[in-house]
Amino acid sequence: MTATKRPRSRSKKILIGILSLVMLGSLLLTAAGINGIHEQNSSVYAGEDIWAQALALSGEAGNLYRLSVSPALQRQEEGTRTACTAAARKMLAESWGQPEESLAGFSEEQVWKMLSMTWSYSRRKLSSSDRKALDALGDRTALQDQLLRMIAAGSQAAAEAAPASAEAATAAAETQGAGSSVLENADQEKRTQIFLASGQEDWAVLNRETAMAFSRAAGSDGNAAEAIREVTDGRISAVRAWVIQHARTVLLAGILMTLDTLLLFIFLHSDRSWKMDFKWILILVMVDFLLLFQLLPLVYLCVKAFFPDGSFSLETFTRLYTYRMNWQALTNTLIASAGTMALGTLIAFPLAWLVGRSNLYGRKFFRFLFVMTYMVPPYVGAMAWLRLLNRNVGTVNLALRGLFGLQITEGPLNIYSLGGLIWVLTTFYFPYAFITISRAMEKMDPTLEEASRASGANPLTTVIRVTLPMMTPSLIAGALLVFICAASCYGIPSIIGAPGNVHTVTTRIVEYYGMGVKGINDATGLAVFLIALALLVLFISDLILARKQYITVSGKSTRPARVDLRRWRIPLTVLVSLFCLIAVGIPFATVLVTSFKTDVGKNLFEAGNFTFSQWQSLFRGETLDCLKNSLIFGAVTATAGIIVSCTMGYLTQRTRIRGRKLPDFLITLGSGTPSVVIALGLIMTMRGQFGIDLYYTAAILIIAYLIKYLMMGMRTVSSAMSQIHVSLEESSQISGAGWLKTMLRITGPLIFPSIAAGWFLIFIPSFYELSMTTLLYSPDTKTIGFQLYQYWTYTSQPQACAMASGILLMIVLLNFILHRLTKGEFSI
Amino acid sequence: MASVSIQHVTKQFGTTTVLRDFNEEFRDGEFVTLLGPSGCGKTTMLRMIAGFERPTSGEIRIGETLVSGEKTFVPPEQRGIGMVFQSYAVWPHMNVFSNVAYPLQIRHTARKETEDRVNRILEVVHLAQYAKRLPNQLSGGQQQRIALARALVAEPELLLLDEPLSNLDAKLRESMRFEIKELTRKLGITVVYVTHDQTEAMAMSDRIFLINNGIVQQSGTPEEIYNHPANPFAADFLGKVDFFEGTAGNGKIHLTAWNADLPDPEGQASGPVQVAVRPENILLGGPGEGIPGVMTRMYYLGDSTDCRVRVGETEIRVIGDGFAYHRFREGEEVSLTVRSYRVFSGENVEEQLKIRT
Amino acid sequence: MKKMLAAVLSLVLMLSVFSGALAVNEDIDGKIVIYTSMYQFEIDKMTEALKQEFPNLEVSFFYGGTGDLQTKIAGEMGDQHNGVLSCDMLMVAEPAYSLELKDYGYLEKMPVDAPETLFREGLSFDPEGYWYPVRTLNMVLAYNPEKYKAEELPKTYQAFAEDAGMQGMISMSNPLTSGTAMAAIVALSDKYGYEYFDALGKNKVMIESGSTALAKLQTGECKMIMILEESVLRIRKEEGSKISVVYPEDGVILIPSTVMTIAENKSANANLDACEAVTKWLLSEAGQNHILDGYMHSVLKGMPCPYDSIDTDELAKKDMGVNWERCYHDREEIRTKFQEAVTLSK
Repeated sequence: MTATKRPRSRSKKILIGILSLVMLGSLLLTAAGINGIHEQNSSVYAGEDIWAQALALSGEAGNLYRLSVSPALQRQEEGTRTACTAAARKMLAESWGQPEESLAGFSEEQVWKMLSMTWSYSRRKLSSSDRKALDALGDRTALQDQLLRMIAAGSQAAAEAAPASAEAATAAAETQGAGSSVLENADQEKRTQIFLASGQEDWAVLNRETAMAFSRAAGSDGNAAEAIREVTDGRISAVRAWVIQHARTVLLAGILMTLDTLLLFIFLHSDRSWKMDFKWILILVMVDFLLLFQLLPLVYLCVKAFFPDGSFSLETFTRLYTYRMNWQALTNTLIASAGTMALGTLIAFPLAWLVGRSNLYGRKFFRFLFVMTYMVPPYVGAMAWLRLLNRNVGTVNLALRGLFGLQITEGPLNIYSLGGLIWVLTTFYFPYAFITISRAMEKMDPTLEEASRASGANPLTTVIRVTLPMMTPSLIAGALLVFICAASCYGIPSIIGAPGNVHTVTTRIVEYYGMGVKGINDATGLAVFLIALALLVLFISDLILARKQYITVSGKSTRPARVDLRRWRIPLTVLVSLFCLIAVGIPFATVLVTSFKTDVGKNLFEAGNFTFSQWQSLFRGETLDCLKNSLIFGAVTATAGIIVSCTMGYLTQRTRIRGRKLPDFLITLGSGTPSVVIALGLIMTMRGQFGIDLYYTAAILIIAYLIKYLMMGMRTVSSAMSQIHVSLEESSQISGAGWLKTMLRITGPLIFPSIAAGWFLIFIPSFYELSMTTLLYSPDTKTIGFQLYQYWTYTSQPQACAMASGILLMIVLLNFILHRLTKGEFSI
Repeated sequence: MASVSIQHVTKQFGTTTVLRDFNEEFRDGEFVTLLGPSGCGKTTMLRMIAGFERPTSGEIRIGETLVSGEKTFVPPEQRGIGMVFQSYAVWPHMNVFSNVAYPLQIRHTARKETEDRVNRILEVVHLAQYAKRLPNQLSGGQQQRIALARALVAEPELLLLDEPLSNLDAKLRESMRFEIKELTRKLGITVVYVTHDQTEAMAMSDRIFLINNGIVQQSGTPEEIYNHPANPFAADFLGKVDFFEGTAGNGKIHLTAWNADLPDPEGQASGPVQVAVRPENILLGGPGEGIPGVMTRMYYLGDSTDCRVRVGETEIRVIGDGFAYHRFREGEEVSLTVRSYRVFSGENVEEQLKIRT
Repeated sequence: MKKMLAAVLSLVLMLSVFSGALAVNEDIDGKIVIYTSMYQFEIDKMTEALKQEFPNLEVSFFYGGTGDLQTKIAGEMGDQHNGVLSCDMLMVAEPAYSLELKDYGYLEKMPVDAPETLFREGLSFDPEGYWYPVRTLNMVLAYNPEKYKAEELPKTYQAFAEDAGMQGMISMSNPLTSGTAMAAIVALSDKYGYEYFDALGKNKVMIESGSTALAKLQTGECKMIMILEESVLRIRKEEGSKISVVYPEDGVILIPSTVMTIAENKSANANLDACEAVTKWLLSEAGQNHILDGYMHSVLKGMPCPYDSIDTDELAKKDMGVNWERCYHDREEIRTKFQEAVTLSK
């Protein structure tokens, strides 16, 4: 016993020791970061780059001086040399707009170095013709000498160096070829510039990029001057400069490392094995990812909203919310979301019951259809409903007028209204409730309903008195899901609400964002509202669901007996079909038909209106590029997402670590945060403020998608894992397999259908995503959803419809593949 | 109170036939058990009686009423039955009282009368003091009693129970067995009980229907089936049994492995036979009192001793009483007397014994 | 034989003259990024032409709506207005935006020979050379003669807003996101005062993008829309559409969209030589011909007008005129007034 104890406790001690050291180090880092920020704010310099850039520049200037300027100067006579340096000093003072006397104490080396640094970023580079001409002059050394003499001749100090001026005069008379005109026409400054540039191959004074970076960081010339001086004086050390420059990053790294070490402590302690395991690293990486890309932006947004200029003020909020349009947007959002929630749940529950529990005709088909609706971009349907329900010439309106003989020119239905918004939102978000309720219904013990039947209650009474109350937690979960999705939606309100002046918080956010810098702050203020809403919903949902878990898994694997609808079977099937037709069939058909039209107002079969041109232009290079991008981004997101999901599933289902619910909470929060807010947060934090610059890359898109869509995958995998009894994995462990092998060889294959389903659940929304992409895209990372938006807004409706139909077809295809892959077990 | 008449009922799921020509009558007031291994079709039969499944062909009558037939189907809620499920199926969102009162409320019984009847039945199942509790605050056995009370409160003609005790622990199972039996006898109600536990079946039933592979193997009282099993499966399923090959002729049966003879009382069998002997029907004695053998192993079980005796070329299982443990010793010579046995002709006992899983 | 030689010699001479004249610029190299709100097909053609003109230069156009581009640039500028942009040139929006960027110090001077003689009468340009107009957009009214007769429809902007028969059936772009719409309402509010906005609001004008509005004309959902002339000309030519333009009698609104070069230290590629060359090309006849191909009006003197349109000088006479300073400085106020009158639902 003692023999085995000692090695273990020793390795434990070593591990604890290492971790403590790391913790100490990270705390130091954090402190350094805080200090750096303080330094930044209190010093007179704006921007953090200025230090390192000044350093880099001075390094290069030093080289230039040593290798080119100094040798050239030394070749000259004393008088020429002094005159040149005096001229340089004068030009330097002029560049900075400062009196010449302030530079009196500077040595020749300092003057030339600083001149070259200053001019490297504030001077236009020599034009190509000039460069060519100078190249033709040949020998640079001779050129340099000639230039120095010309400069000396032109400087005021020439008076003191009378003998030199005679030489200078002759030098000026020396001419060779075309380059001479350049030299002759050049003034003092240009000559000095050419002299300095002569030291480099490409006739630039100093390294272009460093110089430009420095100029950007410097802001104003005064600061630049100070920075140059401080650095060349050696008052700032390289390390310190680096830390101050990257203060925010250092701080962030410090905080993350501290947290990581703390978490590692907790993991190892809970496991009691005190062995470093790969899975801890995986979990840490995941937690870091969530903290960095999800929590940080959100917190930053909130801080920005409450501290717009650095001090706490509710000014943003009072200003925003007293503005009538915003207030209206707020109420509209709440009403629309609540309405959608109510209507959606009202529709979803009976449908889920009919499809899941009764012997309705065509159950499989309906189920497939409803799940598919979840997969379709919402804005596609919005386009269609516009055609159908616009109050002037909407197809449905016209039909209704004809049917009832109404003599009106407007209505009776108007889609540009709150009601219209609720309707379209419902048709697209009720599948969320449908899926949640269906899943719960499947898991519900069927004997509970059978007991009610055996007690004498008919199916309807059973549904009301047993099924409904039992399903309440899932109903609420589904309803809340619909609520938050409706509140976060951007595509539908922008297409339907805006023309009717029904604004929502999301459209206002995007509008504010489009109004420039000031607007971004306003957008943030509104975003905070949505964040608060999402948090509230999450809180309620967790609170309620946590308390009353009614779902039981039955002991026997009996399939629930299907309720026989008897004489209601056909009528109900017809009803459901009608609903499908109205909610799903007609809109999609409209989109498809429009895609073949040239003139939207004319019938498809009128002369010359039918055309394939819209579809043909889909195969243009640009669209195919977008398609490629979408496929790649979607695939990467889904794959990364499923790995995270499996890790999370493991964490929640198989460990007992306290606080394992936290990542779960974050992930759920992510999906509840409106897309616009996520994108906004990422833009404001990932452009280098914290050392990470992902702007304009594909990475930022993928990260945004991940944050938004991770949850669905995670829930699927998690619930599948919860149904695998732990003894299956334990027997693998007893047989000697480690954690990873068990996952790969036992758990993985068992939950493969859920993994596949989860992959697709993340892939498909990422594939067609629109809202975030509009804010985060770059010329190289355009996606298909964004292309659709552009077609709709700037090209033409039929074009957009063709695109939308194309997307739809792809999604149906993908769904089909998924169905095959999971052998029809697409468990959602 | 009603009888149950099942006429030529067959049930197929897809291409699998789960029940084959089930043709039986359960008498009014009888306690009938459908017994058999998992998957034999007994639960399916019960669910067909309840109305949760439909027969592929055949008719089912409860009392005089045709409930399942070619053109007729009466849904479960109209059959006037009570049912207890294996998982209890007690509704977690209602308290004990509401659970039990449910069937009466469905029938729109007056409030006062409901209260009275519910309280009465709660008394009977000893749950009166928990009336206001929620089911998840009660134990498994208590929940099972809730289910029972609920099934009986509306005084149904027929009570169906689907393996109600299999989720309970051994001791509780025993006590619940008696409770259920007593209760139903007092009420004089017809009971159809489904289980795979033969002890349960034997303890509670008036008649047992032994089912295997969808076919009724034997029906009769527990004593009948136990002592006169109709085929090797029946012999094997109820109680413990060992089979030995032998050859019959001239009024004797020569057991090949024992290298000993047993008398053939009916003297009719000839040729190869299988003899079924229950371990407890072999008596142990000192040397010279019967068929000679050597005691190889003894396992003390308190109320009995499980022994292995080497006879001829084989080892036989013998169950003696508790004292046998002290009377005999491992390695000692003993003798065996076979008190009773059954003779089956034919060689394919294996085939008949195969239990579908 | 001699004749042959002479012919060959003169051919060679001619060729050399021409090649000199064509002056294909191989010196211009590197890369530049141009943000523009011109249509994609326009961009494609222009990229081709630029490739031929400057074979060593890599030109990357980035297309976005005015609002989108302005947002992008605002984000890149950052809080302190000192961030680096991801573009080198801008061909977007209207002079007010150029004024704004110039104020922030984001533009670079581009020398052009004798600008006063180059441009049409009355076109404004920055005297220091920070921005020039490169294409003239024309805000007009449009209708669908297949659904409604011209006689029954308004002929002026005033009627467009005030005619009660048009209620709920008119549409225009969002001034918050469309530079041209913004310019239009500035001009209209100058002419008619803020009451014009109230009238628009009362007439329930719908705010949406041009393509959506065109579709509504086609279906008859709208009777008349305010839209850029080029959108209508394009579908007339390419799709044979019958949708027609009404040049309002109380004035058209000409919007000179500008070309600007980003200051060297704030640009993406710091390739001022290329920017200068491209700017000059754009303001040359060759470049302007491409503008005409894009159904927009030219900015140079003496150029023809695009397909199916009216002569540019004629149009200029009808121009309502936009006060660009006001568009820049009073932007907030005008926006707010418009929002209150039009987009706030009562």
